[in-house]
Amino acid sequence: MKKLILIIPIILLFSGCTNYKELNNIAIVTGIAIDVEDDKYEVSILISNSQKPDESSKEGDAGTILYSGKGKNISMALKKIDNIIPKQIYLGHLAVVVVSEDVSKKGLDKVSDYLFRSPETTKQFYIIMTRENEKAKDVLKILSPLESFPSQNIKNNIDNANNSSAISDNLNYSRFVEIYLKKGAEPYLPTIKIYGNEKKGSSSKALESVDLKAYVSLKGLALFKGSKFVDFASDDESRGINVVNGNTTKMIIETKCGDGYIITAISNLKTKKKIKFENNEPVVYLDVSAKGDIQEITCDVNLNKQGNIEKIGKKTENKLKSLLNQGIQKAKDNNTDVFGFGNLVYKKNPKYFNSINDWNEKFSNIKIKSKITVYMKSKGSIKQSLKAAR
Amino acid sequence: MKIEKSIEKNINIIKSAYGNSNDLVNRNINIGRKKIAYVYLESVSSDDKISDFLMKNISSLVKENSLNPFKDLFKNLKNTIYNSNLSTTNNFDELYYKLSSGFTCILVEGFDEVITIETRSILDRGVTESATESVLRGPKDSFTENHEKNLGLIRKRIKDQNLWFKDLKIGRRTKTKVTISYIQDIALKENIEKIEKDLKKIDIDGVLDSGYIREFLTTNTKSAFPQMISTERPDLVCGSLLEGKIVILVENSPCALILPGLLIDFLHTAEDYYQKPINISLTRILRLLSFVLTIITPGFYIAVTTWNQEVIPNELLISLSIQKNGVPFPTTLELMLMIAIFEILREADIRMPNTTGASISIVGALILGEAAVSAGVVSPIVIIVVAFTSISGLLYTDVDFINGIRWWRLIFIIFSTLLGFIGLIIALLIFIVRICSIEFLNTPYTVPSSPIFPKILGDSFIRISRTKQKVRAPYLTHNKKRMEEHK
Repeated sequence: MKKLILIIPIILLFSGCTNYKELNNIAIVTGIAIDVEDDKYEVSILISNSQKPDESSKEGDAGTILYSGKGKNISMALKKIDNIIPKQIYLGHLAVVVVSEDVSKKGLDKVSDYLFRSPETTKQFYIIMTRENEKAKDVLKILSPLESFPSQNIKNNIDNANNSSAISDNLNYSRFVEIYLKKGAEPYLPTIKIYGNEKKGSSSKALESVDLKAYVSLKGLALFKGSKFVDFASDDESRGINVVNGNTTKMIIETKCGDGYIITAISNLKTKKKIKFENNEPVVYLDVSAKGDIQEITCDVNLNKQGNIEKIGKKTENKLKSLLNQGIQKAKDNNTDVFGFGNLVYKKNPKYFNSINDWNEKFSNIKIKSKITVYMKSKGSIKQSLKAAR
Repeated sequence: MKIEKSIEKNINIIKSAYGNSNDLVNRNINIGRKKIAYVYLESVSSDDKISDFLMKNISSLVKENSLNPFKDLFKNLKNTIYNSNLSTTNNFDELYYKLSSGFTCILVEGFDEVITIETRSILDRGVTESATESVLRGPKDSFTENHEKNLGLIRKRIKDQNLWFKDLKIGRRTKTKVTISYIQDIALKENIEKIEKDLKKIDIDGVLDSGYIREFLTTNTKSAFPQMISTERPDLVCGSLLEGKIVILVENSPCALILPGLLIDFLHTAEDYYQKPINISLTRILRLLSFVLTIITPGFYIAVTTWNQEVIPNELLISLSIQKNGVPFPTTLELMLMIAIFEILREADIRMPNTTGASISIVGALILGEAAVSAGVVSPIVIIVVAFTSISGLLYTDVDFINGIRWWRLIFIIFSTLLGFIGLIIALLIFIVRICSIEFLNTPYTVPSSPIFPKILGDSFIRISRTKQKVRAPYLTHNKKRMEEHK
């Protein structure tokens, strides 16, 4: 009993209340945007629990507001914001970090240390880049009628994009750093673009009309070399890169036939990569397999005829192969191995890898042999296209 | 003190011992030269039985010229009144005890022995439905304040001759009858002897209820959880007897005590054995879940909203933070305030007479909660947390168990406030260690899950069908087989 009387005050005195935060004293940050402006970084944080002015504080949605601060590095910029906000900045629920193109050109390693080192962040937030001259903080201002706040909008968009359009990739921060640290692999980032009138899109009046004033859209990938930005990839090239990297399991492939198109929806996309050494040179073998469903036919093709479906499968395979080649060519042109082939060579034969000075040079001349199989599964609910059935 | 031979002296001693109380009735009968007197207390005996009978038949009971009228009277009474407790006594202490218990005492002039006949009147409410432990299906009778009737309710369910009752008298002034009942070839002998020894050691003024005895029997007074089950239902008592447990019944108390009471018994009800096993398995899992939830939920809420906000999903955190915006108090204070209010409501509900009970609880719960939220004293989520906690705590029938849970809830709240999630885990470890170290009558509290008895597990957290429960618990009995194997 006496020990208990001694132990409890010790616990009370030594533990303190260092991490004790009441819920109404924290400003929950769900999105960070980093811009650069004449040598200073401008950090904007999107706070998601501000009060709506006309509703009672007990029910109702929260409002969102964007605060900005400038500084020579991220920590100093955030300190500037500390002087403005009455609540404590809480980064535990950070969902999205938007980086502008200028920042990426300067080098991402200059802005990524704070977020990685802080024990409060989860490292599972998505990192995304803006294109051309758009400011990163404008992306975080666009309100969406389908989601409560902009960072949620971007996050859910990236989540869903993986399974539908295959242009983008849901790269979270820890994966980005993982790729960056791998030997023989270069990182890449998904990109985002604002369409429409951003001034109108960032006010709450935009949500009151049926007409969509402004919206953000995901675009193709941005290729990096080291931590510096190199080039943008177009839509088709991004699809090819994503297929080789195994980032996507579903895609749609369109092929021409006569005066119309045949659209195949591919699912269960799997890519196997192998390195084989022939004549002391590494050769990459790609094996892509997928299952296809016919999604739309707008030309005159008789599906009941023997062999037509196999023909459609072959056409799909060829189109997929061309997408792959486009993506690989783009990476080769820019001398960045975004696929991680260098890492596979390193794993297979470390001596060979270490003997090469610059893997990216080697990569631009590497031979890649790919084999693609698409197994046509079903035709949908109707057997023939309308035109052919008539 | 021995009884005198003269009737007058005896009657005077008895009257002065009782303080010339008005309910002491004394009648003298003369048969020739023999004097016979009988004495009884009007308040506890049904007075017309014996006096009627004696007055009418006294001449046939005692002959005028018998040599030993005492022996004759005793013999004749024994032959004629055959359904009463008939005996003789020769000292005043026993005489006083029997008088106070409602016996009629017959004194014969010149003899220093007294005949005592039981003429007790029934001063209780009869066998009715239990008010506190109700079931949907199953027998609904409950124990009353009549000791013999209680024993009868047990005896008529277990007709085995191995069901033994051992009587003790406890309490210097109340001299209350305490009965230990057990099935002698199932229950463990060392447990029975230990209980008897402990009961005989009790030196107390009076025992008014079975609750008085509880504190003398348990060795572990600091633990919040009860080690004995107290129940009003005879079917629960008989079920426990058949498993090898020992039951203590106290005169004038409708609550029987079942020893040893294990943690798993508080999570079961008697009704479990009357419904389908597969449905009851789900109910038992639900009860176990609510036991855990009712202790952990307030502490968990505090730990998650003030120390470890990363655990909550995004949208919930934002909505919680908006709800808390106008509230001035820290979360712990809010929570403790609401828990205190709910406990006060619960206590008031029990004491309130039935006519006003319903409206007060509605007023209390709904309006207090709503008004507190609108006034900005607490946030709405705290009301939900506290209501959920209290309601899952009320799932159990034993009042001591529910009150034991209250203590632990408080300890969890304190640890969570100080150290967050880590504090919660520390409190959980302390809880598990404390619960597992309670031991009563050589049985650990948390059996059959630790130490593990695989064959009994089927009846603990789930219920397997009765045809598969072939053995009794080895920690309660040595006689393990429940049914004979088919040959």
